[in-house]
Amino acid sequence: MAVEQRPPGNAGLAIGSGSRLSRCCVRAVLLLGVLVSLFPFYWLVVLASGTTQDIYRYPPKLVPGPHLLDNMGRVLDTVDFFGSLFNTVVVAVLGTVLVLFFDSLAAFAFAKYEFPAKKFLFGMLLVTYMIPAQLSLVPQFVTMAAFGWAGSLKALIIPGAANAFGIFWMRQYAQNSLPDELLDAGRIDGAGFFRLYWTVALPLFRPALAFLGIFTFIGLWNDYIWPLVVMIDPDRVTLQVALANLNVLYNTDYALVMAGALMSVIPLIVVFLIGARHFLRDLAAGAMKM
Amino acid sequence: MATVLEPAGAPAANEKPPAGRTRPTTPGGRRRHLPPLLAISPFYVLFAVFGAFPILFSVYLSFQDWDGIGDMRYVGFQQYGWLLRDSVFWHSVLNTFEIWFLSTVPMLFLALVLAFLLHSQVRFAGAYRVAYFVPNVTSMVAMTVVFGSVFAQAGLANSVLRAVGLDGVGWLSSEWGIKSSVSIMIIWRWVGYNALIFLAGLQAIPTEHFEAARVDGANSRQTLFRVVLPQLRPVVLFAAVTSTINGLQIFTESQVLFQSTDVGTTGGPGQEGMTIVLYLWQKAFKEHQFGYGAAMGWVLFAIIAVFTVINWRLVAGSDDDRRPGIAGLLRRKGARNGR
Amino acid sequence: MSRRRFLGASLGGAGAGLLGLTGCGSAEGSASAGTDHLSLWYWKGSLSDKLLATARRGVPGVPVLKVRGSQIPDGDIDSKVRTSLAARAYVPDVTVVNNDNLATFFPDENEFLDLRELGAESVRDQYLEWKWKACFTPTGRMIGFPLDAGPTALYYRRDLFREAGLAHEPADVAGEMPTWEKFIAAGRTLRAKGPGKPYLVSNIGNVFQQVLLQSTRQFVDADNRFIGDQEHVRRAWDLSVDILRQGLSARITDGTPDFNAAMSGGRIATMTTAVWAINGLKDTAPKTAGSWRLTTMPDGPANYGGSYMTLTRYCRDPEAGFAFLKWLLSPANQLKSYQEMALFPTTPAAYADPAMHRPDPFFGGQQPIDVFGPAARKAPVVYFSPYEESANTPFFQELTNVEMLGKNPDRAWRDAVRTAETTLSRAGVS
Repeated sequence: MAVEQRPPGNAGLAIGSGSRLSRCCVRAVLLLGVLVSLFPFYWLVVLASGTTQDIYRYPPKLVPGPHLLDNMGRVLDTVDFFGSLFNTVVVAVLGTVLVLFFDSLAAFAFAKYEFPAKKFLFGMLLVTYMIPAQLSLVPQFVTMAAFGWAGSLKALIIPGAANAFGIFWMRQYAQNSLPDELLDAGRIDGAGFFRLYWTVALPLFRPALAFLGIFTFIGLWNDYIWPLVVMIDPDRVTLQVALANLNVLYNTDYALVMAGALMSVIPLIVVFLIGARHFLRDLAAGAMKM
Repeated sequence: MATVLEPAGAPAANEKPPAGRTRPTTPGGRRRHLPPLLAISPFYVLFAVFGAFPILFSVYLSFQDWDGIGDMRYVGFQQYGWLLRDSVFWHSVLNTFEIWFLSTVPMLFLALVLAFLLHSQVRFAGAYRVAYFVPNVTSMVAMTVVFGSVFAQAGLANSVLRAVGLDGVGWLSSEWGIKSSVSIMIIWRWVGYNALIFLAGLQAIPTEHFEAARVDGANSRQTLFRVVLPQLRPVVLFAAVTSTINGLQIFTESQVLFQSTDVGTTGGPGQEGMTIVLYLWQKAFKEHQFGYGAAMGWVLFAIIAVFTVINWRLVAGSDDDRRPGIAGLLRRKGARNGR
Repeated sequence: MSRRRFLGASLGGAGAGLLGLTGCGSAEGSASAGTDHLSLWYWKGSLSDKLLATARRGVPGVPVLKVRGSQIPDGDIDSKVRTSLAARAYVPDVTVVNNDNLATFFPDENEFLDLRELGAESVRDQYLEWKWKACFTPTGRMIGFPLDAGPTALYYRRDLFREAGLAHEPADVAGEMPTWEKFIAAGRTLRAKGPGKPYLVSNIGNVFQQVLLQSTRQFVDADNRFIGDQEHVRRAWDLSVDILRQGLSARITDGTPDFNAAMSGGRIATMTTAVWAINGLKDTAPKTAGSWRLTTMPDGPANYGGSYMTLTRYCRDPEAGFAFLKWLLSPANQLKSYQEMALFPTTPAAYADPAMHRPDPFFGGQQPIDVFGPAARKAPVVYFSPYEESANTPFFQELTNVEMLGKNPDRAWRDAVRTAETTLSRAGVS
């Protein structure tokens, strides 16, 4: 996290630190980058607020039209938007809570306790990283079918409820930010493992939990291939799958599809913007060192 | 590997040290280990059931011919034999690498440029970051739908080309058009992410390095090539590693882009957008060749493993003082795999 | 070795054991388990929305039977049904299966109920003979029930034909373009003299499809032999490539936004397709209403698509399921489906009904039945093998490669034949 605080007086790179002209250039390029980055969202709003005929007009219509609410209303009429939204929220929230709980618990144990086969178990944890999820797409589906979980939200929540990345990341954090003295003080008061975890460790983990939480939430929200495969009940799908279906079923009604796309991205962007500051700081820090 | 496997902090023996050496073997000692073992068990239980078992089962499955409905039929190595002779599979491998290359190289370059610029720009740093990162958090399905309309024959991309007097491009109907379209989506999504990672790397370079360079009379170009880039090398390599692992698993862009047409499941005209994972999904869940899908999963695994090893070699080669270590690599990889 | 075998055996055992957990009770796997209705999977346009709305409230004449439909994208429905069958969960009680795909379920015929056991024979005489016969598997089980037929026609833009100086009234067009060769010649005229130089077809895949369906033989014959490299396929291929070579194809994939734009914009002068495409055309290009006409397809009509309905073995209430089919697909309701959805009845009794003969303003007041009625009678009856789709997919793909990517047609043909043969040899077809 220290990396965030730029040492005062560090001009950093020579680039752009010179004349006013080159400063201007830097700003122009950065703004151009922002435009490119955000333009697809703007364009999505334009498409979602126009009519299907507008979409292929030449020259193209570059400003939003008046039909946004219409189109969104039609999305609600054609697909079970709120049902899919509800499923997605359930998966993302429950999945995130479970990940945060199990990962921080395991991280606490790995960081602050000794137990048999610890090194081996931790090594194994790391090895599981190396396995691409798609390797076992088929057998995972068969396993879910055998459990009778195919088509149920459990299939999206349970298998990923504790993950190696989170445990590893939280462990690093726990090692650096959880003073042994605090734990010792707790022990003197007679607290056992789980009490220490709950009353001492968890409150101190909060920044790390915030990052891991947003991260997991985004991942679960946007996951596509696994829900596509395992959610076999067409009346119970996630937002991503519902949108993909809408895209196929109503491909002649582009304004409708675009309105659906817009509605599917708004909730997550809001969540991200709320947590953006912490999240981005931790992301950068996590990438460098803990 | 040492960074990873080091014991969890030296003072971890902060449990009250046992009085006698024999203590841990007594029942009381074992019970003492129970809470932490219990605490880590969810991961291992879940992994055993939903990770290890399916993987072992997929070995078995890859020797069977099975549509998921009828009976399994043992076919030995036949699935692998067919796979090696399956021209569509090799086409999908080639496509995947082409798309990976077309997306990764410009993406890393642009990210590096943006990181440098962000580094020298002090005002509105937070706002820039958010703006650059937003593409990474939005659903690929929704944005692929948007890009699909942009790249249509009569879409925005060709309208712009027409406006400046150029001919339209068959973005979704020609070999390189398809690959470029998919690559552009990937670049758009990941440039900001990598720029922020690079920026963190830049900011971590100690000020003394710059001062030393200045004292030596280095100009800005020399500073860039002698100080900054060597220091950034490990971070850039990590970005390359993660891009490789992700690039080899491209699915959503190709699947959604062509799903609404007759050639939908096959990656567009000429199957130029067919990637390895898309093909796996098609064989397994459109055509229900579960054994073939399992075999393909293993070949994909082998390919990724080879590249991971190569990348590790590259990373290990850059063994200087600021090396973030394998730990950093793992963190990043996990970070981008999401689920 | 023995250890490996042990491992394999135990894994296989574990897998089989896991599957066994849910493999037994069949009604458990129904998508409607625990509800008061039967579940139905269909794709948009394959069934009457009005009749489905009625069935959702209660099927008339059948006490307390409700049926609830779920829309599945039409290209996905077969694989979704298979996936649910593999999972033995959320299997629909009733499902719609596309014409040429019913046969792909024959190898898994036991996953579907034999409708004769539910009394299908009692309504046999209401349905077209050939359609009824196609519902049977080679072992004699009836797993399908006739939904609609797909007689084809040449859809054309009368205004564009007229301005290009071509024959433009339906009877004249049929007279002037009795063969594909003449049709292509007309395409040249259109391209040269028509307003805005319209293309003859959106893509050549449609022509390839229709020429094929004019033949009784497809890619695999009844003896499970690959016949896709023979003259009847080659002719369809060569005609299609000829259209492309002469620059008469817009080279646009159907169903894409580009296709919609081209249809609305009058860039495409004809479509060769079935009756059920009417509603799609009306949705795609509402502004072109009145300028379209229908006439006999060059070289005569074919049957393209048209569907079946099935009951899966997971159906919670087979008697009720069959009662629903009998009601939905009765002559009276097929008539309603035709009026609403352009689903062509498979019950000949409906053909004479005045309701079938209403003029359609979209076709300038023409009565579509005047073209599709005779087409339904004359269309050849085609044999579809369970391996048809595996065999024809490479040909459609390679044709797309020729059209979109400029691949050499002869090389594409050789590649298609080779791919089809390889694929089929894996499935045990020679």
